[in-house]
Amino acid sequence: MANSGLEVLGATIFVLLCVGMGLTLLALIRLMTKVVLKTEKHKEGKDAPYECGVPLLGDARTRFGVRFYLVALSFVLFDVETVFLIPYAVTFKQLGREGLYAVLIFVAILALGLFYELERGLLTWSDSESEDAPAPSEALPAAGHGH
Amino acid sequence: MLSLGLDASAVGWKLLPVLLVFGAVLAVVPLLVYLERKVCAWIQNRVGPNRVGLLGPDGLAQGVLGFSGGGKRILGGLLQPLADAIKLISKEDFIPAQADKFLFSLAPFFALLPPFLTFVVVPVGADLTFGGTTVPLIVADLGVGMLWVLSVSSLAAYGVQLGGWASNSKFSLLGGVRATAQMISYEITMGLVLLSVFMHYDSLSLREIVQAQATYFDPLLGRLAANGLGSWGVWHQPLAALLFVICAFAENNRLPFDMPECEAELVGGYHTEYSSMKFGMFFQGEYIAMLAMGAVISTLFFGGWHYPGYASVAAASPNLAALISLAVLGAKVMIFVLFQMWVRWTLPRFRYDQVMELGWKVLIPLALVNLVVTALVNL
Amino acid sequence: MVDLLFLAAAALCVISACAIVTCKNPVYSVIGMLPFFLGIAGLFVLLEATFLAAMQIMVYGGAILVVFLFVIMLINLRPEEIRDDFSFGRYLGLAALAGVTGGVILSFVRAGVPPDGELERAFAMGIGSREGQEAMSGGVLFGSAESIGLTLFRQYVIPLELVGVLLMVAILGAVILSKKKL
Repeated sequence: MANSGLEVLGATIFVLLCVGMGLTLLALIRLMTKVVLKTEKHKEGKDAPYECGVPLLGDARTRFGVRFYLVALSFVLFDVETVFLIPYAVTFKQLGREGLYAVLIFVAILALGLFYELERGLLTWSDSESEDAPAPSEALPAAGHGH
Repeated sequence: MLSLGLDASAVGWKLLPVLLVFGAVLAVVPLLVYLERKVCAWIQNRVGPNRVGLLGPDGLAQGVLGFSGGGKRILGGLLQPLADAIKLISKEDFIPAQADKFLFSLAPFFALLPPFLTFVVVPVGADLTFGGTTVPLIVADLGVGMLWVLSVSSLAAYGVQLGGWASNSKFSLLGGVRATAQMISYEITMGLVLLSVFMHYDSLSLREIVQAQATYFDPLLGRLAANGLGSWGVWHQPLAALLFVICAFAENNRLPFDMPECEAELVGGYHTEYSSMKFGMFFQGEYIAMLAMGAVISTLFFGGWHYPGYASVAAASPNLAALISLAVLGAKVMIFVLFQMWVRWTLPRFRYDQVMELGWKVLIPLALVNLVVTALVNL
Repeated sequence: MVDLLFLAAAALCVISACAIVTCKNPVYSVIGMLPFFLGIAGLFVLLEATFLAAMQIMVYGGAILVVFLFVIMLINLRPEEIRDDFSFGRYLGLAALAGVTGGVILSFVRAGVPPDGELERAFAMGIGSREGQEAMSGGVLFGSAESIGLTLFRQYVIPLELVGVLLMVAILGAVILSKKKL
């Protein structure tokens, strides 16, 4: 890094360019419909969410399977693991064997957690585990089973 | 505190790579839309878009100037992206009454932005020299390098998640939730794979990673030789390259990982309710993400902008060498983009449970093993 | 220039923090956290803690917010369920925010802004240890992933392993909470 300030400035300009472009595009789209085309009309059938043309069955804002939430939670934990491993990855040559042992233990502990989680079938998306599936009234029919 | 010892000329020259990268991405995306339709047509033994072109019986020249340029269609369909854009922008931007209006409008923006930002740290070419001033062709050579790519790609899930939720449609919600769960699952593997890449190159900076791939050990000469293909990351980290490519497909929601859309069961997935250019922004985002992944993969595993013979060209004319390097990176990215299209139109889609099981039971353990093996080998 | 960037990032933080506590719709509050975390990351960059900035976006912006969104979608508050009598708490929150901000500004006004380099020295003292100092003097940039790695894996190995155990316990907790039958 010759001049970190300059690099940060370059990144800032690029980010602002992208943000500006995106917001301008959104404004243009809105303007086109509202001012140029003037086609925006709300009707009952047009406003209804698409559901293959059959009468609507309930609201879309229903609760969905708890497995998605678990995936997200596991993601946070493994993301944090990655964060702890990044400093190791860039210094592992200087750290030598001691660092390697430390990391092996760290990874092993988390691999144990992952193994337990998989063993409990939490990330298994199959129908055989119906005892955990939320009651039908709570969940969208297809949320827990993607097929 | 960060010090900004800036002079006007340095800032001025910095604008060159910034505008170059920004403009190049914007210019290439419409071409990719055309290319995808053509490639799909070739694979399915069809003609593909061939009408909206410049020359030919139904080309733009005929319509505007009355000049047909002969009876043959030359590069017919080349203006198809333009026609698509005009069509999309002149459609009604409809916001369903039951949708959350603010988030519904914001979601396409979130889909477009993160893939664009990936390009900030990608070195697109060798240094240009103008009268003693060296202009590195990189938007920002940040100290964190690849970590920028990781953090930016972690923001990519918002577009689909918010779009799916704000539409207030069942198909959208299912698509959005599935997409988010899939993207975050594969992000872990991506992060772990990048760790072993850092270890191999012993650096976070993409500039240094490209430099490291410029040399290789020549068994005939018995010493390090410059400008070889043997130093490409893919030979040293084959498993990492494979895992990263798989994750790139999953992150971009491309087939065989296009769960979030899967027309057959979810209509359009998270963008079922979107119309007009807002829908266009979602698919532009997808093409930019393809480009971004292509750029990152070529930089990490396929030598970046480096090419055999760079040193000798650079000795003669550094600027010529830099221009060639731009083209070389462009070609590498295009090859990867074509690969993504080829896969899309060849492979069938996974089932959702297969996607998640592949991610958690196969890819993450493999990435962890790769990490430990890399540490053992390089220590 | 740096002051300007600092002010921009700080303003982004304060404004989005206000938006977080005043939005009635929890999804909006979560989305408000995104610019907040980006602003914090910007402040870290200005302090040359670039590793921390990247991790701030990756972990908070990319991971934790996604979980928040999932939880809120899972709980699924319908508009009619969002309480309207929330306004008292809102004003209380705003008042607390104003009070804390005022207090911080007042203390800076009374004590004066630290001179150049003072804050950096304070941060460096925080690392404190011999190894940390060595890492810093060994040509490793303060705040970079390298300096953190050297300190973390030499001096704080046991805490690191404990963090691993903590993460594993969190996984177990998630499993136990979500299963009706173990």
